[in-house]
Amino acid sequence: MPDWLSLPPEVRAIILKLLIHHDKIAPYATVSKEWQSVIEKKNFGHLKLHPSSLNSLERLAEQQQGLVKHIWLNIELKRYTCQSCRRIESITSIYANNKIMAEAIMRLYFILANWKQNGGGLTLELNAYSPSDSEHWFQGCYFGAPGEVIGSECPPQRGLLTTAIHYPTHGFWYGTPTDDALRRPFEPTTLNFQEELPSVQAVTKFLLRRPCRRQLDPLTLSYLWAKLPQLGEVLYEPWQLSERPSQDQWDSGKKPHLDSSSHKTNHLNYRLRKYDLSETFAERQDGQNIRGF
Amino acid sequence: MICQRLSPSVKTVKIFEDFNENYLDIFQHSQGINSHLNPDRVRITYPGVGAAFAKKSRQLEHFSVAFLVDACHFFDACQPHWRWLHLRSLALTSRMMCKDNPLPIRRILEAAAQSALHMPELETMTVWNGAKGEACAFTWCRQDASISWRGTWDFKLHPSVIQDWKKVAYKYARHEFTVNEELLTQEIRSHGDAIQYLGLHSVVDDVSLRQIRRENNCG
Repeated sequence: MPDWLSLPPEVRAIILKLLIHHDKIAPYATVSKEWQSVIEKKNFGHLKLHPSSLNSLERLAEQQQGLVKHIWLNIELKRYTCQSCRRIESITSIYANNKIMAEAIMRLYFILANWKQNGGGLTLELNAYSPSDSEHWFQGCYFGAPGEVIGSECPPQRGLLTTAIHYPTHGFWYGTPTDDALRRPFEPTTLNFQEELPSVQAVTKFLLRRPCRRQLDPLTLSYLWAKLPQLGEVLYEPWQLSERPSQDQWDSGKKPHLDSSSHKTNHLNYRLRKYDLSETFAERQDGQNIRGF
Repeated sequence: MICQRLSPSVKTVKIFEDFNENYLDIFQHSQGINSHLNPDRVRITYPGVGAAFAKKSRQLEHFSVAFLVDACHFFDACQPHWRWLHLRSLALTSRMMCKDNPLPIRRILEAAAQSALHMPELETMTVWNGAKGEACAFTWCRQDASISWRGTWDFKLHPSVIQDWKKVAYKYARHEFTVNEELLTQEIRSHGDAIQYLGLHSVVDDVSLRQIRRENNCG
Protein backbone atom coordinates (compact mmCIF):
# COMPACT_ATOMS: atom_id res chain seq x y z
CA MET A 1 0.00 0.00 0.00
CA PRO A 2 1.49 3.37 -0.96
CA ASP A 3 2.20 5.65 1.98
CA TRP A 4 1.11 9.30 2.22
CA LEU A 5 4.39 10.76 1.03
CA SER A 6 4.42 8.63 -2.09
CA LEU A 7 1.33 10.48 -3.32
CA PRO A 8 1.99 13.44 -5.64
CA PRO A 9 1.81 16.82 -3.82
CA GLU A 10 -1.22 17.84 -5.92
CA VAL A 11 -3.18 14.78 -4.78
CA ARG A 12 -2.16 15.36 -1.14
CA ALA A 13 -3.36 18.97 -1.44
CA ILE A 14 -6.75 17.84 -2.79
CA ILE A 15 -7.20 15.37 0.07
CA LEU A 16 -6.29 17.97 2.68
CA LYS A 17 -8.60 20.51 1.08
CA LEU A 18 -11.48 18.04 1.34
CA LEU A 19 -10.52 17.21 4.92
CA ILE A 20 -10.73 20.77 6.21
CA HIS A 21 -14.32 21.10 5.11
CA HIS A 22 -15.23 18.73 7.92
CA ASP A 23 -15.72 19.68 11.57
CA LYS A 24 -13.92 18.14 14.52
CA ILE A 25 -10.76 17.32 12.63
CA ALA A 26 -8.39 18.29 15.45
CA PRO A 27 -7.47 14.65 16.33
CA TYR A 28 -6.04 14.17 12.82
CA ALA A 29 -3.42 16.80 13.45
CA THR A 30 -1.27 14.06 14.95
CA VAL A 31 -1.04 12.20 11.60
CA SER A 32 1.95 14.20 10.41
CA LYS A 33 3.54 17.63 10.46
CA GLU A 34 1.88 18.39 7.13
CA TRP A 35 -1.59 17.49 8.43
CA GLN A 36 -0.94 19.39 11.65
CA SER A 37 -0.01 22.53 9.78
CA VAL A 38 -3.14 22.47 7.58
CA ILE A 39 -5.54 21.53 10.38
CA GLU A 40 -4.17 24.10 12.84
CA LYS A 41 -4.41 26.81 10.22
CA LYS A 42 -8.12 26.05 9.88
CA ASN A 43 -8.90 25.40 13.52
CA PHE A 44 -7.07 28.39 14.94
CA GLY A 45 -8.10 30.80 12.22
CA HIS A 46 -11.45 31.71 13.72
CA LEU A 47 -11.87 31.22 17.46
CA LYS A 48 -15.28 31.65 19.08
CA LEU A 49 -14.63 31.70 22.79
CA HIS A 50 -16.82 31.46 25.84
CA PRO A 51 -15.06 33.31 28.70
CA SER A 52 -14.34 29.93 30.32
CA SER A 53 -12.12 29.08 27.32
CA LEU A 54 -9.79 32.01 27.91
CA ASN A 55 -7.40 29.77 29.86
CA SER A 56 -6.89 27.70 26.70
CA LEU A 57 -6.27 30.87 24.71
CA GLU A 58 -3.62 31.88 27.20
CA ARG A 59 -1.83 28.56 26.69
CA LEU A 60 -1.52 28.91 22.90
CA ALA A 61 2.07 28.68 21.73
CA GLU A 62 3.48 31.65 19.84
CA GLN A 63 3.37 29.72 16.58
CA GLN A 64 -0.33 28.95 17.07
CA GLN A 65 -1.05 32.57 18.03
CA GLY A 66 0.23 33.57 14.61
CA LEU A 67 -2.46 31.40 12.97
CA VAL A 68 -5.34 33.19 14.71
CA LYS A 69 -7.10 35.70 12.47
CA HIS A 70 -10.35 36.26 14.35
CA ILE A 71 -11.24 36.00 18.03
CA TRP A 72 -14.89 36.22 18.95
CA LEU A 73 -15.36 36.57 22.69
CA ASN A 74 -18.95 35.50 23.26
CA ILE A 75 -19.86 36.47 26.81
CA GLU A 76 -22.68 34.56 28.44
CA LEU A 77 -24.67 36.64 30.90
CA LYS A 78 -27.00 35.56 33.70
CA ARG A 79 -30.23 33.77 32.95
CA TYR A 80 -33.58 35.19 34.00
CA THR A 81 -37.04 33.71 34.38
CA CYS A 82 -40.59 34.74 33.67
CA GLN A 83 -40.68 36.47 37.01
CA SER A 84 -38.48 39.18 35.57
CA CYS A 85 -38.72 38.88 31.77
CA ARG A 86 -41.39 41.59 31.59
CA ARG A 87 -39.27 44.01 33.57
CA ILE A 88 -36.19 46.06 32.99
CA GLU A 89 -33.08 44.60 34.54
CA SER A 90 -32.60 45.17 38.25
CA ILE A 91 -29.57 46.99 39.60
CA THR A 92 -28.18 43.76 41.06
CA SER A 93 -28.45 42.01 37.69
CA ILE A 94 -26.91 44.99 35.90
CA TYR A 95 -23.95 44.95 38.28
CA ALA A 96 -23.56 41.18 38.02
CA ASN A 97 -23.71 41.18 34.22
CA ASN A 98 -21.39 44.17 33.93
CA LYS A 99 -18.93 42.40 36.19
CA ILE A 100 -19.05 39.27 34.00
CA MET A 101 -18.44 41.39 30.89
CA ALA A 102 -15.69 43.54 32.40
CA GLU A 103 -13.80 40.55 33.79
CA ALA A 104 -13.97 38.61 30.51
CA ILE A 105 -12.86 41.57 28.41
CA MET A 106 -10.11 42.50 30.84
CA ARG A 107 -8.79 38.94 30.86
CA LEU A 108 -8.80 38.85 27.05
CA TYR A 109 -6.94 42.15 26.80
CA PHE A 110 -4.30 40.95 29.29
CA ILE A 111 -3.81 37.72 27.31
CA LEU A 112 -3.63 39.50 23.95
CA ALA A 113 -1.26 42.14 25.30
CA ASN A 114 1.45 39.46 25.09
CA TRP A 115 0.72 38.59 21.48
CA LYS A 116 2.88 39.88 18.69
CA GLN A 117 1.42 41.56 15.65
CA ASN A 118 0.93 39.06 12.89
CA GLY A 119 1.18 40.01 9.25
CA GLY A 120 -2.39 39.15 8.34
CA GLY A 121 -3.92 41.14 11.18
CA LEU A 122 -6.18 40.04 14.03
CA THR A 123 -9.89 40.75 14.39
CA LEU A 124 -11.37 41.10 17.86
CA GLU A 125 -15.10 40.60 18.07
CA LEU A 126 -17.21 41.02 21.21
CA ASN A 127 -20.69 39.77 21.94
CA ALA A 128 -22.77 39.40 25.11
CA TYR A 129 -26.04 37.54 25.45
CA SER A 130 -28.16 35.88 28.08
CA PRO A 131 -29.38 32.39 27.13
CA SER A 132 -32.78 33.60 28.38
CA ASP A 133 -33.01 36.44 25.83
CA SER A 134 -34.27 34.14 23.10
CA GLU A 135 -36.54 32.14 25.41
CA HIS A 136 -39.02 34.86 26.31
CA TRP A 137 -40.13 37.79 24.16
CA PHE A 138 -37.42 37.57 21.52
CA GLN A 139 -37.94 34.10 20.16
CA GLY A 140 -36.77 33.92 16.58
CA CYS A 141 -34.12 36.62 17.09
CA TYR A 142 -30.38 36.22 16.78
CA PHE A 143 -28.27 36.86 19.87
CA GLY A 144 -25.08 35.08 18.90
CA ALA A 145 -25.77 32.23 21.34
CA PRO A 146 -24.19 28.85 20.56
CA GLY A 147 -26.23 26.76 18.15
CA GLU A 148 -27.85 29.61 16.27
CA VAL A 149 -27.66 29.02 12.55
CA ILE A 150 -28.79 31.58 10.05
CA GLY A 151 -29.93 30.26 6.73
CA SER A 152 -32.14 27.46 7.95
CA GLU A 153 -35.79 27.97 7.18
CA CYS A 154 -36.84 27.81 10.84
CA PRO A 155 -36.05 30.81 13.00
CA PRO A 156 -33.76 29.83 15.86
CA GLN A 157 -34.72 28.92 19.39
CA ARG A 158 -38.38 28.08 18.96
CA GLY A 159 -37.48 24.53 19.83
CA LEU A 160 -36.25 25.70 23.21
CA LEU A 161 -39.84 26.32 24.21
CA THR A 162 -40.12 22.72 25.24
CA THR A 163 -37.18 22.79 27.62
CA ALA A 164 -36.93 26.33 28.95
CA ILE A 165 -38.12 27.26 32.39
CA HIS A 166 -40.96 29.58 31.55
CA TYR A 167 -44.50 29.72 30.35
CA PRO A 168 -44.80 29.03 26.64
CA THR A 169 -47.07 32.00 25.94
CA HIS A 170 -44.32 34.44 25.02
CA GLY A 171 -43.19 36.15 21.93
CA PHE A 172 -44.80 38.17 19.22
CA TRP A 173 -46.72 35.11 18.10
CA TYR A 174 -48.77 35.23 21.28
CA GLY A 175 -49.31 38.91 21.95
CA THR A 176 -47.71 42.24 22.53
CA PRO A 177 -44.86 42.53 25.03
CA THR A 178 -44.73 45.39 27.51
CA ASP A 179 -42.29 48.18 26.76
CA ASP A 180 -40.09 47.10 29.68
CA ALA A 181 -39.97 43.55 28.29
CA LEU A 182 -38.79 45.05 24.99
CA ARG A 183 -36.18 47.15 26.75
CA ARG A 184 -34.67 44.38 28.78
CA PRO A 185 -31.96 42.89 26.51
CA PHE A 186 -30.89 46.35 25.30
CA GLU A 187 -29.49 47.50 28.64
CA PRO A 188 -27.15 50.49 28.26
CA THR A 189 -23.91 49.33 29.82
CA THR A 190 -20.95 51.10 31.35
CA LEU A 191 -18.06 48.85 32.24
CA ASN A 192 -15.67 49.58 35.07
CA PHE A 193 -12.45 47.62 34.83
CA GLN A 194 -10.67 46.75 38.06
CA GLU A 195 -7.32 47.52 36.50
CA GLU A 196 -6.14 49.76 33.71
CA LEU A 197 -6.40 47.73 30.50
CA PRO A 198 -3.08 47.03 28.79
CA SER A 199 -2.32 48.17 25.29
CA VAL A 200 -2.91 45.40 22.73
CA GLN A 201 -0.72 45.73 19.66
CA ALA A 202 -1.94 42.60 17.84
CA VAL A 203 -5.52 43.66 17.15
CA THR A 204 -6.12 45.42 13.84
CA LYS A 205 -9.90 45.16 13.49
CA PHE A 206 -12.72 45.53 16.03
CA LEU A 207 -16.16 44.07 15.52
CA LEU A 208 -19.33 44.49 17.55
CA ARG A 209 -22.34 43.30 15.57
CA ARG A 210 -26.08 43.54 16.02
CA PRO A 211 -26.61 40.22 17.85
CA CYS A 212 -25.13 42.04 20.85
CA ARG A 213 -28.25 43.72 22.20
CA ARG A 214 -26.54 44.97 25.33
CA GLN A 215 -25.33 48.44 24.44
CA LEU A 216 -21.85 49.48 25.50
CA ASP A 217 -21.81 53.18 26.24
CA PRO A 218 -19.55 55.48 24.19
CA LEU A 219 -17.05 55.97 27.02
CA THR A 220 -16.54 52.23 27.49
CA LEU A 221 -16.25 51.67 23.77
CA SER A 222 -13.81 54.54 23.28
CA TYR A 223 -11.73 53.17 26.12
CA LEU A 224 -11.61 49.71 24.52
CA TRP A 225 -10.62 51.23 21.19
CA ALA A 226 -8.01 53.50 22.76
CA LYS A 227 -6.21 50.38 24.02
CA LEU A 228 -5.83 49.06 20.46
CA PRO A 229 -3.13 51.30 18.98
CA GLN A 230 -2.81 49.31 15.74
CA LEU A 231 -6.53 49.37 15.04
CA GLY A 232 -7.19 49.97 11.35
CA GLU A 233 -10.84 49.05 10.98
CA VAL A 234 -13.98 49.27 13.09
CA LEU A 235 -17.33 47.64 12.37
CA TYR A 236 -19.85 48.70 15.00
CA GLU A 237 -23.53 47.82 14.87
CA PRO A 238 -25.28 49.28 17.92
CA TRP A 239 -29.05 49.54 18.35
CA GLN A 240 -31.17 52.62 18.70
CA LEU A 241 -31.48 52.76 22.47
CA SER A 242 -34.81 51.85 23.96
CA GLU A 243 -34.40 54.55 26.61
CA ARG A 244 -34.60 58.05 25.26
CA PRO A 245 -32.82 59.74 28.21
CA SER A 246 -29.78 57.51 27.74
CA GLN A 247 -29.86 58.09 23.97
CA ASP A 248 -29.91 61.86 24.50
CA GLN A 249 -27.04 61.60 26.92
CA TRP A 250 -24.96 59.41 24.61
CA ASP A 251 -25.59 61.64 21.60
CA SER A 252 -24.88 64.87 23.40
CA GLY A 253 -21.73 63.43 24.95
CA LYS A 254 -22.73 64.73 28.35
CA LYS A 255 -21.72 62.84 31.43
CA PRO A 256 -24.53 61.50 33.58
CA HIS A 257 -25.89 63.94 36.13
CA LEU A 258 -25.39 62.76 39.63
CA ASP A 259 -27.87 65.05 41.30
CA SER A 260 -31.06 63.48 42.51
CA SER A 261 -33.21 65.52 40.16
CA SER A 262 -31.74 63.97 37.02
CA HIS A 263 -33.88 61.77 34.91
CA LYS A 264 -31.46 58.88 34.82
CA THR A 265 -30.92 58.90 38.57
CA ASN A 266 -34.64 58.88 39.13
CA HIS A 267 -34.88 56.06 36.69
CA LEU A 268 -32.20 54.10 38.52
CA ASN A 269 -33.81 54.80 41.87
CA TYR A 270 -37.03 53.63 40.39
CA ARG A 271 -35.45 50.36 39.43
CA LEU A 272 -33.96 49.95 42.88
CA ARG A 273 -37.26 50.59 44.58
CA LYS A 274 -39.47 48.52 42.38
CA TYR A 275 -37.52 45.62 41.09
CA ASP A 276 -34.49 44.75 43.06
CA LEU A 277 -35.95 42.46 45.67
CA SER A 278 -38.38 40.74 43.35
CA GLU A 279 -35.73 39.91 40.78
CA THR A 280 -33.20 38.74 43.34
CA PHE A 281 -35.89 36.42 44.61
CA ALA A 282 -36.75 35.32 41.08
CA GLU A 283 -33.11 34.54 40.34
CA ARG A 284 -32.80 32.42 43.45
CA GLN A 285 -35.75 30.43 42.32
CA ASP A 286 -34.23 30.27 38.88
CA GLY A 287 -31.07 28.74 40.34
CA GLN A 288 -33.06 26.15 42.23
CA ASN A 289 -34.98 25.27 39.11
CA ILE A 290 -31.86 24.83 37.08
CA ARG A 291 -30.29 22.58 39.68
CA GLY A 292 -33.40 20.48 39.84
CA PHE A 293 -33.69 20.22 36.08
CA MET B 1 -18.36 60.93 21.57
CA ILE B 2 -17.32 57.61 20.17
CA CYS B 3 -15.37 58.84 17.18
CA GLN B 4 -13.14 61.23 19.04
CA ARG B 5 -10.87 58.70 20.71
CA LEU B 6 -10.38 56.48 17.70
CA SER B 7 -6.73 55.88 17.06
CA PRO B 8 -5.30 57.82 14.08
CA SER B 9 -4.37 54.41 12.65
CA VAL B 10 -8.08 53.68 12.00
CA LYS B 11 -8.82 54.09 8.29
CA THR B 12 -12.10 52.22 7.90
CA VAL B 13 -15.18 52.88 10.03
CA LYS B 14 -18.51 51.21 9.41
CA ILE B 15 -21.32 51.98 11.85
CA PHE B 16 -24.82 50.66 11.47
CA GLU B 17 -27.38 51.57 14.10
CA ASP B 18 -30.06 48.92 14.02
CA PHE B 19 -33.71 49.15 15.03
CA ASN B 20 -36.89 47.12 14.72
CA GLU B 21 -40.00 49.00 13.64
CA ASN B 22 -42.25 46.46 15.33
CA TYR B 23 -40.67 47.35 18.68
CA LEU B 24 -40.83 51.07 17.92
CA ASP B 25 -44.55 50.80 17.12
CA ILE B 26 -45.17 49.13 20.47
CA PHE B 27 -43.16 51.79 22.30
CA GLN B 28 -45.10 54.47 20.47
CA HIS B 29 -48.49 53.21 21.63
CA SER B 30 -47.48 52.04 25.07
CA GLN B 31 -49.10 53.37 28.21
CA GLY B 32 -46.69 51.49 30.49
CA ILE B 33 -45.36 52.86 33.77
CA ASN B 34 -41.98 53.59 32.18
CA SER B 35 -43.36 54.94 28.90
CA HIS B 36 -41.64 58.30 29.55
CA LEU B 37 -38.42 56.48 28.71
CA ASN B 38 -39.61 55.18 25.36
CA PRO B 39 -37.61 56.02 22.24
CA ASP B 40 -38.88 58.13 19.36
CA ARG B 41 -40.70 56.33 16.54
CA VAL B 42 -38.11 57.68 14.12
CA ARG B 43 -34.63 58.25 15.52
CA ILE B 44 -33.87 61.92 16.07
CA THR B 45 -30.20 62.54 15.51
CA TYR B 46 -28.01 65.23 17.05
CA PRO B 47 -26.29 67.80 14.79
CA GLY B 48 -23.24 67.58 17.08
CA VAL B 49 -22.76 63.88 16.35
CA GLY B 50 -22.92 64.55 12.61
CA ALA B 51 -20.38 67.34 13.01
CA ALA B 52 -17.98 65.15 15.02
CA PHE B 53 -18.11 62.42 12.39
CA ALA B 54 -17.67 64.94 9.58
CA LYS B 55 -14.49 66.16 11.25
CA LYS B 56 -13.22 62.61 11.80
CA SER B 57 -14.00 61.56 8.21
CA ARG B 58 -11.10 63.70 6.96
CA GLN B 59 -8.68 61.11 8.40
CA LEU B 60 -10.49 58.08 7.01
CA GLU B 61 -10.38 56.11 3.76
CA HIS B 62 -13.73 54.35 4.07
CA PHE B 63 -16.58 55.70 6.13
CA SER B 64 -20.13 54.45 6.39
CA VAL B 65 -22.60 55.40 9.09
CA ALA B 66 -26.27 54.49 9.04
CA PHE B 67 -29.03 56.05 11.16
CA LEU B 68 -26.77 57.23 14.01
CA VAL B 69 -25.95 60.40 12.05
CA ASP B 70 -28.02 62.34 9.54
CA ALA B 71 -26.33 63.26 6.28
CA CYS B 72 -27.73 66.80 6.52
CA HIS B 73 -25.89 67.37 9.83
CA PHE B 74 -22.74 65.82 8.39
CA PHE B 75 -22.65 68.08 5.33
CA ASP B 76 -23.83 71.16 7.26
CA ALA B 77 -20.76 70.83 9.47
CA CYS B 78 -18.30 70.58 6.56
CA GLN B 79 -16.20 73.73 6.21
CA PRO B 80 -15.27 75.20 2.81
CA HIS B 81 -11.54 74.89 3.61
CA TRP B 82 -11.73 71.19 4.60
CA ARG B 83 -10.00 68.61 2.42
CA TRP B 84 -10.55 64.84 2.53
CA LEU B 85 -7.27 63.70 1.09
CA HIS B 86 -7.74 59.98 1.79
CA LEU B 87 -11.49 59.36 1.65
CA ARG B 88 -12.35 56.76 -0.99
CA SER B 89 -15.88 55.79 -0.01
CA LEU B 90 -18.59 57.54 1.95
CA ALA B 91 -22.07 56.26 2.82
CA LEU B 92 -24.56 58.19 4.93
CA THR B 93 -28.26 58.03 5.68
CA SER B 94 -30.75 60.83 6.00
CA ARG B 95 -34.22 60.49 7.44
CA MET B 96 -35.07 63.62 5.46
CA MET B 97 -34.84 61.65 2.23
CA CYS B 98 -38.40 60.48 1.96
CA LYS B 99 -41.37 60.87 -0.33
CA ASP B 100 -42.99 64.32 -0.44
CA ASN B 101 -39.75 65.88 0.80
CA PRO B 102 -38.02 66.96 -2.44
CA LEU B 103 -36.52 70.21 -1.15
CA PRO B 104 -34.45 68.69 1.69
CA ILE B 105 -33.29 65.95 -0.70
CA ARG B 106 -32.13 68.62 -3.13
CA ARG B 107 -30.31 70.55 -0.38
CA ILE B 108 -28.52 67.44 0.91
CA LEU B 109 -27.39 66.36 -2.55
CA GLU B 110 -26.17 69.86 -3.42
CA ALA B 111 -24.21 70.02 -0.16
CA ALA B 112 -22.84 66.54 -0.85
CA ALA B 113 -21.54 67.72 -4.23
CA GLN B 114 -19.86 70.73 -2.61
CA SER B 115 -17.99 68.42 -0.22
CA ALA B 116 -17.20 65.91 -2.98
CA LEU B 117 -15.30 68.64 -4.81
CA HIS B 118 -12.78 68.44 -1.96
CA MET B 119 -12.49 64.63 -1.93
CA PRO B 120 -9.88 63.91 -4.60
CA GLU B 121 -9.72 60.15 -3.93
CA LEU B 122 -13.47 59.61 -3.64
CA GLU B 123 -14.66 56.63 -5.68
CA THR B 124 -18.21 56.23 -4.38
CA MET B 125 -20.61 58.26 -2.29
CA THR B 126 -24.02 56.99 -1.26
CA VAL B 127 -26.72 58.91 0.58
CA TRP B 128 -29.68 56.68 1.35
CA ASN B 129 -32.70 56.01 3.47
CA GLY B 130 -34.73 52.91 4.17
CA ALA B 131 -37.61 51.87 6.36
CA LYS B 132 -40.79 49.85 6.07
CA GLY B 133 -42.53 50.90 2.85
CA GLU B 134 -39.88 53.29 1.54
CA ALA B 135 -36.33 53.19 0.23
CA CYS B 136 -34.08 55.46 -1.79
CA ALA B 137 -30.41 55.93 -2.58
CA PHE B 138 -28.34 58.51 -4.37
CA THR B 139 -24.98 57.19 -5.56
CA TRP B 140 -21.94 58.84 -7.11
CA CYS B 141 -19.59 56.49 -8.93
CA ARG B 142 -16.37 58.03 -10.19
CA GLN B 143 -15.41 55.07 -12.36
CA ASP B 144 -18.58 55.50 -14.44
CA ALA B 145 -18.73 59.28 -13.94
CA SER B 146 -22.34 58.74 -12.98
CA ILE B 147 -24.92 59.78 -10.45
CA SER B 148 -27.85 57.45 -9.83
CA TRP B 149 -31.13 57.78 -8.03
CA ARG B 150 -33.04 54.68 -7.07
CA GLY B 151 -36.20 54.92 -5.05
CA THR B 152 -39.64 53.55 -4.41
CA TRP B 153 -41.40 56.66 -5.66
CA ASP B 154 -41.31 58.74 -8.83
CA PHE B 155 -38.55 61.25 -8.45
CA LYS B 156 -36.45 63.42 -10.71
CA LEU B 157 -33.12 64.82 -9.59
CA HIS B 158 -33.30 68.62 -9.57
CA PRO B 159 -31.31 70.32 -12.39
CA SER B 160 -29.18 72.16 -9.82
CA VAL B 161 -28.18 68.82 -8.23
CA ILE B 162 -27.23 67.46 -11.64
CA GLN B 163 -25.28 70.63 -12.37
CA ASP B 164 -23.36 70.45 -9.08
CA TRP B 165 -22.40 66.80 -9.60
CA LYS B 166 -21.40 67.51 -13.17
CA LYS B 167 -18.71 69.77 -11.71
CA VAL B 168 -17.47 66.88 -9.55
CA ALA B 169 -17.39 64.60 -12.59
CA TYR B 170 -15.57 67.26 -14.62
CA LYS B 171 -12.97 67.60 -11.89
CA TYR B 172 -12.30 63.95 -11.06
CA ALA B 173 -13.80 61.51 -13.58
CA ARG B 174 -12.56 60.47 -17.00
CA HIS B 175 -15.81 59.48 -18.69
CA GLU B 176 -18.78 61.36 -19.92
CA PHE B 177 -21.11 62.30 -17.08
CA THR B 178 -24.34 60.29 -16.91
CA VAL B 179 -27.48 60.49 -14.78
CA ASN B 180 -29.55 57.39 -14.00
CA GLU B 181 -32.93 57.26 -12.38
CA GLU B 182 -34.68 54.03 -11.49
CA LEU B 183 -37.96 53.20 -9.81
CA LEU B 184 -37.81 50.35 -7.30
CA THR B 185 -40.87 48.17 -7.48
CA GLN B 186 -40.13 45.59 -4.77
CA GLU B 187 -42.08 45.57 -1.54
CA ILE B 188 -39.92 47.08 1.21
CA ARG B 189 -40.85 45.30 4.42
CA SER B 190 -37.96 46.65 6.48
CA HIS B 191 -34.74 48.66 6.36
CA GLY B 192 -33.10 45.27 5.63
CA ASP B 193 -35.12 44.94 2.43
CA ALA B 194 -34.16 48.50 1.55
CA ILE B 195 -30.47 47.63 1.79
CA GLN B 196 -30.97 44.44 -0.16
CA TYR B 197 -32.91 45.97 -3.04
CA LEU B 198 -30.83 49.13 -3.19
CA GLY B 199 -27.75 46.90 -3.43
CA LEU B 200 -26.03 48.62 -0.49
CA HIS B 201 -24.46 45.50 0.97
CA SER B 202 -21.35 47.29 2.15
CA VAL B 203 -23.19 49.39 4.78
CA VAL B 204 -23.74 46.43 7.13
CA ASP B 205 -22.19 43.05 7.86
CA ASP B 206 -23.64 40.46 5.47
CA VAL B 207 -24.72 38.03 8.21
CA SER B 208 -26.30 40.94 10.08
CA LEU B 209 -28.27 41.89 6.97
CA ARG B 210 -29.70 38.38 6.71
CA GLN B 211 -30.61 38.47 10.40
CA ILE B 212 -32.28 41.88 10.05
CA ARG B 213 -34.39 40.75 7.14
CA ARG B 214 -35.40 37.54 8.85
CA GLU B 215 -36.27 39.19 12.19
CA ASN B 216 -38.13 42.10 10.68
CA ASN B 217 -39.85 40.39 7.83
CA CYS B 218 -41.12 37.44 9.84
CA GLY B 219 -42.02 39.32 13.03
